[in-house]
Amino acid sequence: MELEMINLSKRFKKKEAVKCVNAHLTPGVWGLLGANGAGKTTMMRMMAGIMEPSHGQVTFCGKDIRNNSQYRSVFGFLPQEIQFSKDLTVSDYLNYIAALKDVPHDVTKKRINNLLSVLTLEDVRNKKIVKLSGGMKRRVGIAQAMLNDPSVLILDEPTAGLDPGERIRFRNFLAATSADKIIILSTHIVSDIEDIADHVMIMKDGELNRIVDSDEYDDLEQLYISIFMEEATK
Amino acid sequence: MRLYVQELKRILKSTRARVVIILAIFLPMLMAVLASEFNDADYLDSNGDKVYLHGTAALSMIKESSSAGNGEATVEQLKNALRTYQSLYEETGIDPIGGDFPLERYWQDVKPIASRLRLITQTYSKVNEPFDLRTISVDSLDSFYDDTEKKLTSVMESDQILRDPAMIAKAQQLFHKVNIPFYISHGYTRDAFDYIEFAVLILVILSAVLAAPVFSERYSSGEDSILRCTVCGRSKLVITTILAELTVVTVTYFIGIGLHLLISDKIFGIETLKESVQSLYTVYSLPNMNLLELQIVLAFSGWLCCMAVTTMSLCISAKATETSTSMVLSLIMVILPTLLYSISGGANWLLALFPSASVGLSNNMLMSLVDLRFLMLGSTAVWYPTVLVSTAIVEFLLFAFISHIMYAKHQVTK
Repeated sequence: MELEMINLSKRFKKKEAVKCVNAHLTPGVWGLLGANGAGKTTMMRMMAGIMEPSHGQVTFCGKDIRNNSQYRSVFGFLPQEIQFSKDLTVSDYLNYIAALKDVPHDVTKKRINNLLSVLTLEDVRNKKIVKLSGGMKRRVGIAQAMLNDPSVLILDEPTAGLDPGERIRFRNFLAATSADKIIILSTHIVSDIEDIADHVMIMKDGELNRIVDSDEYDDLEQLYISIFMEEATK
Repeated sequence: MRLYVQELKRILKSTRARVVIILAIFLPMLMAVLASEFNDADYLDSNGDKVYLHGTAALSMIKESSSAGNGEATVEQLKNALRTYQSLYEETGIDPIGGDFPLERYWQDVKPIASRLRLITQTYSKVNEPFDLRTISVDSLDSFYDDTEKKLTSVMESDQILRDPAMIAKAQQLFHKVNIPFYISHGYTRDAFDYIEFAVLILVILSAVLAAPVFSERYSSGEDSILRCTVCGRSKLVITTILAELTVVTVTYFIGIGLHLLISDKIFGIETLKESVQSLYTVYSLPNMNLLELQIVLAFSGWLCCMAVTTMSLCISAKATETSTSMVLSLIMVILPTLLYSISGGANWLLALFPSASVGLSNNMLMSLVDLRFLMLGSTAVWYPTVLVSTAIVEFLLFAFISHIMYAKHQVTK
């Protein structure tokens, strides 16, 4: 299983948000680090197949992901910002997404129960999502992304709005479920990924500045800062 | 099927849909009750004092007094009505259908024949000329039903637009199909039928309110990003969403209009639905229908309009990224034909192309049926109601297809 970005670029009028990115992703947790505006979200949208690249393509197992239902059947996505339908409960919403993901009917209930338990949302399953705290809403977002037990999971700033305890629980949950999956986790907070990422992609000004494996660094934060310092001293 | 059920649940759980459904049930019922409020009657009581009746009480009195005149408007009965009128005029020296005729005798002798007298007046009166029923000889009514067709032709010939020979030929062709003799069954009023069209207009507006935010709300909330990258989140989702919206609109519409008609028929009397359209409106009206059939046609054409407006609103919603934009544009599109009709002063092809062309104040399906309205397609005259129904069907399917394309092409930006 492999996910590949080939000469991936995106231009919005005058601004080139993503510049000719090439990467070959295999199972494991991939951290995507970059400052706000580095192009992480745009790149993730193209990898999710919901934004058309200006140039290049994303392939899954050698096939272009555009109009690729096989890819979408094994794909999970948590966007950076999301407002949930104000009239649905957690349970309604997850059942709706399960139908959209074509999760078998007999599996749906069990999987929803499991995710609600792991993400400590059991007590609020019948509450309307709009009435939940920011952290709980984020966990509902994570639950929907995980519903189809995806092989490719893209999480854009998943820990935004989570308190420190929730961040730790989320990291543990991700580490436990990452086997045989390609998980791409975007953040601008180094500590979110340094313990769990097998590989880290660092983006700067729309370019994929560097890809490093976890055994190639001792202190990710130091590495991240040094990349930005390098640029500043040039 | 599972996604369809989930989509239905999603719609029905939304506050907006619940409010719309409640309004779609309540407002048409209110319209039906209001329609009965337009009946007035007055009579002299045992002390000789004038008593004024209003609403259903007036309606009961009108129905009771007129019941003797219910039945087919045969030539013989028309002659009898004219004879009665002329003898009453001769006896009293007062016009029996004028305001000065003694009330008691009016209710007893004139009211049962009033509809027949109206049919005679409509057939033999000239445009913009005062008409006196005393000038008609009873024997001239032998050719009454032939004369109604002549009246149709003369009305069309005196109109700037309708005088086209193709339109006249088409009108005559339609009029030949009208069942004669006309049937009279007193009770239903034109106001009540206007209120059916008001109810349809309200239901069409509500269907636009229901459908307009569907896709744009998903875009503006960012939820579209999640839905779009699921395995059923594209073609299947948009088709299912359209079907679910159409289901909710259809069920809501038929409950709303059904309750309206039930209440209305209960108030005005089911037996009065046997009346010919020509008896209630004009002798040269073209639909070969009784009032029950007219109600059914109005209800179904209103439903087609709802379908077309729903898919049009979904189409706008699939393009607009803001809910408010989608809502405002959809409502403008619903109301625009009424404004255009007032400006243009009549039916035209541009107007007919709007999905909501058959709903409005004077541009509605009822008026298109009972008035003489035609459009020219090359050298062929087309009856306007058939144009309205045909364009609604085509637009319903076309907008559903375009919605699908627009949703598929949408690029996530938020």
